[in-house]
Order: sequence, then C-alpha cells, then structure tokens
Amino acid sequence: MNLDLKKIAVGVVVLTGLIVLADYFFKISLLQSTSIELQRWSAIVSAFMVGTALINMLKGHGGKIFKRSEGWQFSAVLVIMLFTMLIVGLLDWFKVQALPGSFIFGFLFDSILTPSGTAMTSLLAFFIVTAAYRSMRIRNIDSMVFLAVAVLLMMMNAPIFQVIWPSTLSIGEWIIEVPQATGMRGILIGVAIGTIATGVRILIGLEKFYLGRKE
Amino acid sequence: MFFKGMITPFILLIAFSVSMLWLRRISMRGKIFKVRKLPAIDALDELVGRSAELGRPVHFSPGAKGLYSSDSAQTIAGLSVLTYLAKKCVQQGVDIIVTHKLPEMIPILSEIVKEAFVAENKLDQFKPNYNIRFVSGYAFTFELGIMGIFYREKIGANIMIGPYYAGTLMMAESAADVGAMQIGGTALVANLPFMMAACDYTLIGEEMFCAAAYLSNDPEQIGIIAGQDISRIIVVAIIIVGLLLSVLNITAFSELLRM
Repeated sequence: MNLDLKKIAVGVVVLTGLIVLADYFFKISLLQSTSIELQRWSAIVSAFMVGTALINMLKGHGGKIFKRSEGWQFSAVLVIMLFTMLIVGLLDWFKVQALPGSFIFGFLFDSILTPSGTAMTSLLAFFIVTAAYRSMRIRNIDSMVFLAVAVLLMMMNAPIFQVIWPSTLSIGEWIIEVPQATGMRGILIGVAIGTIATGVRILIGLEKFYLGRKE
Repeated sequence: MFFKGMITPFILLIAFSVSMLWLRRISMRGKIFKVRKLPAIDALDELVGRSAELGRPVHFSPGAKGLYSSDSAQTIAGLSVLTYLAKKCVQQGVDIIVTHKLPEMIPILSEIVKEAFVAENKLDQFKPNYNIRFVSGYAFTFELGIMGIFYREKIGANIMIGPYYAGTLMMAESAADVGAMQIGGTALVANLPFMMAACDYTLIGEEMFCAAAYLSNDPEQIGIIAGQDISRIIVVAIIIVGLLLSVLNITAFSELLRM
C-alpha cells in the first residue's frame, strides 16, 4: 500500500488543531480529556528535542575546541558548565545522598546563573539611552512627534517637573490613556485577526512548514 | 454545551473564518486583491544584497517562543520570512545564521534552511552547526549569546521577526553597533517601540501575518488577507454599535457579547 505520509501528517495536524480548538469552547468531558492528552504528547515530543539541541551545541562548540578556533576557550567553558549542570542535576535526580546534588544545583542556579541574568538586565538601561538617542534625532515629522511625546512623558515621571509645571501629569496621563491606548488596541485587534487567519491557514493545510523538505 | 461566555467568541470565530475562506475562494477564481506595500518586506532583498557586498553573514531569529504557545502565530509568520530569506541568501552566496531559544525549533529551522540549499543545488554548502544554532533556553543568556554572535561574526543584516520580549533592544542595539541593517517585527505591543527605535524597518503587528502572502503572491494566501479586512470591518462595526448603544444606555448588546 502506497501511503502518502505528508497527507497523513497534514491530517494529524488538522485533527489535533480542531480537537484543541473545540476544547476551548465546548464543555464536553471526552474533548477535554483528549485535548489534555494531546497537549501532554506535545510536551513530551518537545522534551525529546532538547537532546537534538544538545547535539547541535556540542557539535558546534566541540568543533571550535578541537580546531582551536578563535575564542575556543569560551566554548570550553560552555561545554564544562553544560556537563557540570547535567551531572549535578542527575545526582539530584537519582538522590545520591553522598553528594549534595540539590545544594550544588541550587548554588549554581542562584549564585551564578541568576546574578548573570540580572547583570544582563541592568545593561538594558544603557541600551535604552543609545536607542533613544538614535531614534530621537529629528529627521522628519514622525520623529519630531516622537521626541515631543517622549519628552512630555519623561517630564511627567520626573517629580521636579510636577512642581514646576503641574499640568505635565495630566498631559502625560492623557497621552497614555487616549492616543497610546487607542493605537495599542488597534494593533491588538489586527494581531488577533491575524492569529485567527494563521490558524485558518494551518487548518486548511495552506501552511505546511512543519512537513520539512519537499523531496 | 458551551463554556460560560464562549458563545459569542465562537460565532465570531466562525464568521471570521468563513469570510477568510470565502475571499480565498474568490481570489482563486481570478479576482485580484491589491496588497499595500510593506517596506520592511521589500527591504529583505536590499539587506541580503548589502550583506553580499560586504561579505558578511545575515542573522535571522523567529523570536523567543516556539509553536507551543499563544504567540505561535508570530513564530509561524517568522518562519514564512525565513523560507524566503534563506532562499535569497543561498542564491546570492551569503552565509545565513539562524538562532533560536528553544531546542524543539532547531529541527524545523534546520529543515527550512536545508530546503533552500537543496532547491539551489548547493547542499554541500549547508553547514548545520554554523547555519542553525541553539543558543540557550534561558532568556538573557539567549540574548547575550546572540549579541556575541553579532560581534564575533560581524553580521551585515539582522532580521528579527516573531515574539520578542525584554531583550529585544539589547539585540537590536548590538546589531546596530556592528553596522548591520535591521528588520524587526513583533505583535507584542510592549516591545514594538523598541523595534521601532532600533531597527531600520519594522513590521507592526498584523503586517507580520501578511508576510507569507506578500512574498509568495499566492492567490489563496492573498484571499485570506482580504478576508482579514472583512473581519476587521466586522470588529469596527461591533465597536461603533456598542459605543452608540452604551451612550443610549441600552445594555442588551453588551450582554449579547458576553454570552
């Protein structure tokens, strides 16, 4: 029997999509249990992909280390840390009492990863300044309006201006509540309809990126 | 049978879907719908050409979410752009680097880029570990990793289309710092201003979802875009009617919408 695997794949996607969609609207216990099961399968398949990503990372950085390419030391640190976390995590998982896996795992997370992330977040302030400088240079009417609004909102947030010119607060609030909220809601309506359109395209089989290569 | 408050959303979903499918049918029968110019999408060729002249790679990332979230439609829109971009890069001999935060996206991205190489009969030039990179599943590490790629590889163009969060600005500013031209696109309104401020071209919200139709010029896809306009008209009509009736203190309509 000659099976068209791609048609079967599209069929599976359409059926799965319809079941999960119907579960959102209808209170039918069979639908609910099927939908939960399908979503669980999806999470399991995603978890398998972590292995694929690990291989991708090891191949890329391993190649750099073996060839002694520029910056190979950083790749070495990455690979060492990757295996450290893996081993410590496994020790914790197997409940190896002799080694305090969960303590080391917690320490690595709380004392290395989280502070590094926080340090990165703090950089955001500097990037905001450079981006603001580049975008606020007046080139046309749009950037002039952008600059004027940005200055007004900065004045609104600086207490000194509320003393010098109390109206900054009401002007700033009006900008946020009227033009900004209106624009934002317009975008959100468009996005919601666009999302529905994407769903329709998948359900009728127009969007088939998940099928892979056309042999 | 319905969950509370789900009757009206269900009816609206059916109405929107029917309008999209109806206009798709009309479009397939030969009616030509005009799609307005999208400068951000038109600029894709310019970005690839510029990178070819400079001999620098192009970076692309379809956001920080996968296909298993409420923002997956944005990721799908990003993948449509990647399909076109990868083809253009392969045609012009420009290296393309595709990064993602989620491991489950790596095989999908790999297949899309590989297909572009296969289509141009250049499969021998496809370098899976160079072209497709899993950076990190941790948000700021992911962004830091991408920033590192920008500085090390001296990218010529950066395209970020998909769901992007707090680190958008850091990535976009780093790309600008190495002199890369940029196209950004997201439907997350909190991060759109960052994209607008830092990128040369920006796809605002719904424009992202038109990318596939715009690039392919496929009547089926364009018909669905026209259907989106009908859906938008329905929404605007509901807003106007709702506004007028609430001014007149008639609550029946708003109660109907809450059904």
